[in-house]
Amino acid sequence: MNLEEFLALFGIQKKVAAELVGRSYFSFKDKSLLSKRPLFIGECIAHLRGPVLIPSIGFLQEIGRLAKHRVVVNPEGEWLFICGRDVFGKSIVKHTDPKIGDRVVILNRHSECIGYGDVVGPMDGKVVVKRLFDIGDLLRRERKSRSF
Amino acid sequence: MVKGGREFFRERYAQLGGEIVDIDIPKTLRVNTLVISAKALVERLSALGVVLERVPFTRDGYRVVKSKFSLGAITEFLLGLYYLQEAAAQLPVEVLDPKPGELILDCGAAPGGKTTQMAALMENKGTIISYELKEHRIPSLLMNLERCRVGNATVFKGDSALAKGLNVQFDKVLLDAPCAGNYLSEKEWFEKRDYDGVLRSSAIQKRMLKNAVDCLKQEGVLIYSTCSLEPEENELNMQWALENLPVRLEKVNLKVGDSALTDVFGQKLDSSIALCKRLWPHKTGTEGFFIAKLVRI
Repeated sequence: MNLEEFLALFGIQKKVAAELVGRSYFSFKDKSLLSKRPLFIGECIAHLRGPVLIPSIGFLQEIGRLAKHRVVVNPEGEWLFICGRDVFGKSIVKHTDPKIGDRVVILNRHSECIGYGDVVGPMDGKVVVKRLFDIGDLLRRERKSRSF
Repeated sequence: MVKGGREFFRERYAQLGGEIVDIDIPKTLRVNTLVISAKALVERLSALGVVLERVPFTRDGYRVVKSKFSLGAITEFLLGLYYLQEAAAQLPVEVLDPKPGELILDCGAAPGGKTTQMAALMENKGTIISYELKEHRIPSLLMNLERCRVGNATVFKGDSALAKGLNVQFDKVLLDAPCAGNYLSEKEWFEKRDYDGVLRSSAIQKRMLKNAVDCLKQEGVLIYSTCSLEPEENELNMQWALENLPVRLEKVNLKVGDSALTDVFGQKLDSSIALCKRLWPHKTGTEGFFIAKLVRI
């Protein structure tokens, strides 16, 4: 999956100027350092995890601004979500009326994107959004790398 | 006989005008001005019950006076609104004073506190070339760069001596050197460290200093810092640099810390070494630190 296909899942039609360096996509201008095999160059956009793309924290904010469907959660729902839980109907304070099967971004009360998932039930149901990615992934990734 | 242990270091510090104090260093954060203003962050964390107090001798540092939860796992942290960074550790980059558009060499970058701080002061404009030799420290560096939305850094695994192969002259260099640390930086420091280890660190630091100066343009600035209190890693390295490298020392303008020592165990050093700063924990309430500003001549 490339970056454009990934964005299309959120209903976003946009070209992203980024290049795959190792297992991550980066946006950068000066290509002269590429031959020295950098681990990080310019602005990180996303990471490849098997066949799946994981957005960077910065890119996730852009997705949060442009996505067709958004779900805003309360502080309790926010905390549960960044700990890796799904979104429950009782946590939702606002939404763009997504339907089952739609991909939605999850925003906190500051309109910051904290992750995304797929709608699996009506907005007033118990489990509403099945979590696919949340920003807590960053810490989980770091802890995993430390355990090796 | 191993030269080490609490009493050995206590006697050394006493001869240098220092002492050992058992204090808790307060948790400190640095506002990531790439993402949020200090005012907005203070208001936002205050709404969560976190009490912050400005660290007067830093630009963007705040002490955490009260918090009911860890500040290392909440949304605001994950979104890169701040970096948990000890107050003294924020000072080398403030002295370096990186500007937008500059080309900066960052030697020994992990875990990224100073790299993210430089990117913020540069407003993500210009270029930071970072090196990190220790593989196990690289994941945290990369994650902090991503988290803090750094967009102007290039990171390589390896010794910063490799920067010479880039064939560029840097405007500024940050050499926050690997060091023995200080007794407040890790538990059981006195049991783990000894004088031989200090000398080994000192030898590595001299090599890094030489390589860093080689990469610096004429009149370019190199900030050398350690979190060590040992003169062999600090003032004596500066004496060596003045004698062996094309550099001069300039004043480290900070509101905190003492002038560095010019008399170390009876050895008289170049008077310009007093322009460097030494932070004794018992005087500053911070970790121990040493900061020097060298200019290539």
